[in-house]
Amino acid sequence: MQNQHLPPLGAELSPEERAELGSLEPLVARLAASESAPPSATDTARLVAQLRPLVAGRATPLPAPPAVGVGQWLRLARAQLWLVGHGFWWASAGVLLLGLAVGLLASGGALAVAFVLLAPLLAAGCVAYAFRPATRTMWELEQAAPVSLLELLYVRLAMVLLWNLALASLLLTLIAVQEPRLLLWRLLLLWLGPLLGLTGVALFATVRWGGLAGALLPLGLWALGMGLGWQYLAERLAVEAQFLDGLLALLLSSDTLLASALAALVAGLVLLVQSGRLVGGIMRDA
Amino acid sequence: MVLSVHNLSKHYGPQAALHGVSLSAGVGITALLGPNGSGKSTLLRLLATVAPLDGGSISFGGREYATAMQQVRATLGYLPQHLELPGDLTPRRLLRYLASLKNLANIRQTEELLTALGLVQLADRQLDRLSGGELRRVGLAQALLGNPRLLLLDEPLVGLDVAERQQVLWRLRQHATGAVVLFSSHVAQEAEALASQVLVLRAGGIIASGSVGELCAQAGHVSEVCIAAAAVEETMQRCVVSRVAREENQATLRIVGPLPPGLLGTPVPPTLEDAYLALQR
Repeated sequence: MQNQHLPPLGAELSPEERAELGSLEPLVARLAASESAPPSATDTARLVAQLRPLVAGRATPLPAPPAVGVGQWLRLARAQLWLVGHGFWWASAGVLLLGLAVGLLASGGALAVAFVLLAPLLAAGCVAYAFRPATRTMWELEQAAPVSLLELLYVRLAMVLLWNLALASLLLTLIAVQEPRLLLWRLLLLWLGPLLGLTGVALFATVRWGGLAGALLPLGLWALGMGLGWQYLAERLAVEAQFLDGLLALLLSSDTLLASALAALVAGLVLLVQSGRLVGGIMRDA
Repeated sequence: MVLSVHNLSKHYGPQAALHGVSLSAGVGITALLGPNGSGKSTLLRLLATVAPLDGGSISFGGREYATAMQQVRATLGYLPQHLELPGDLTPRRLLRYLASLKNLANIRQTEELLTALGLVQLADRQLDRLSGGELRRVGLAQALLGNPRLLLLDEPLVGLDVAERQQVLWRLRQHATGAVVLFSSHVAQEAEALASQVLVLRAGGIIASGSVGELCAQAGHVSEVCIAAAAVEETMQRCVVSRVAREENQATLRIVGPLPPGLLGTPVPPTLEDAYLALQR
């Protein structure tokens, strides 16, 4: 390899500096004539071997994954608000409050009880909405993030459940105060059982078969339950003068309803855990 | 900080999307160049951990993906090829949401990225009201959240106008001084403008790799030939032509490879586009 295009040395120097340095021509000629063989494979390998420990010593280790703590979970939960939008939460609160107002104004506590008992559908709807496959890109970006999908899933679920639980507890307390014959714990269980049952079905179906199944399956189950329950109620309440008063009496006394609510609650919890395991499996496969 | 891929394979049903892909990329910008369907996006999706591998291994910074997935995810940024995002979100809300997934408590970086990519005026506009180029910049901003050391960009310059392109190129060059950046493109000029290393893919495999200069040297003989405009079609069928410039009755063709008999041309230095066409031949 020969250096053929060296620029004239000292061209940018002042005359005084050039005089001080003396003639550079012999140096230029020597540099121009110098030859060096291209490095052989052995030379390259030796150089790489010498550099490797230096490079390894300077390498910056990857940062540790973010620690999951209460602060991170709260940040994640707050971020869901940006994703879902405030309107969604206001709408769900509005539906319940409207029902309560209608119930209280129209026929006292009974209609309100009926309305609040329909609230599990609202929760199931919330879950189906929160876990809808928003877009493929969003799914990919969430998957590529250091937060695991399982954590994300439980944060969303906890938010939906807590929100509905808070609203319904408030309404059920008001109803229990207005109608002293109703026991609050009984009313809560009758509400919480179907809520968790339908939520579990919605979540499991969404994770297992997709968003459409997650929305349709709990709705179908609820419709089936209402259909069967209507027949049961019609037989039991045939002699009652007022249907809603009869419903209230049934809620106060029926152990079958209470046992069904308890069974739904247990089934819901099992399905929630199974959904988590399913997501964990999906993550491991990915 | 090195990204190492060894013998990677991926199938979609019986179709092999990638087979036997091995590469190594250090700090700086590496371009994945190839035609549509050559496996660029699949490779980036595997590197971004959003699709499972069928075979092979990947490591980054000395950590294997298989055993340190969350650690790798904490340090990567990814821009998918198609951005299908919820239309009712705004750029600011999207960035804040994704920043929370990356455990970035400080929202200052979100605002800095909105500013750096010229998105401040659009920050609170719904995503479904943004143009393709604006949406692309939002996608790039989310990929840059957390200053990722491994930045994977699938067609980052698609849909950008000249000014947007310059803005993005400047930002990527700045980021690449301390990170491994891989981007895909099927436009050789983009790779030539941005990348220090280029990997050429075809049918799910890497067919050439090296610096822009090294790949240009593989183009072989490149000539510019002046012919009658009427003969352009016939010449293009006989030769690999990388560029055609028509002027009234004449045309200047840039021909990659040896000239067919009867044509006289002037040798010109090859570009990456010439080399790319020669390799894809």
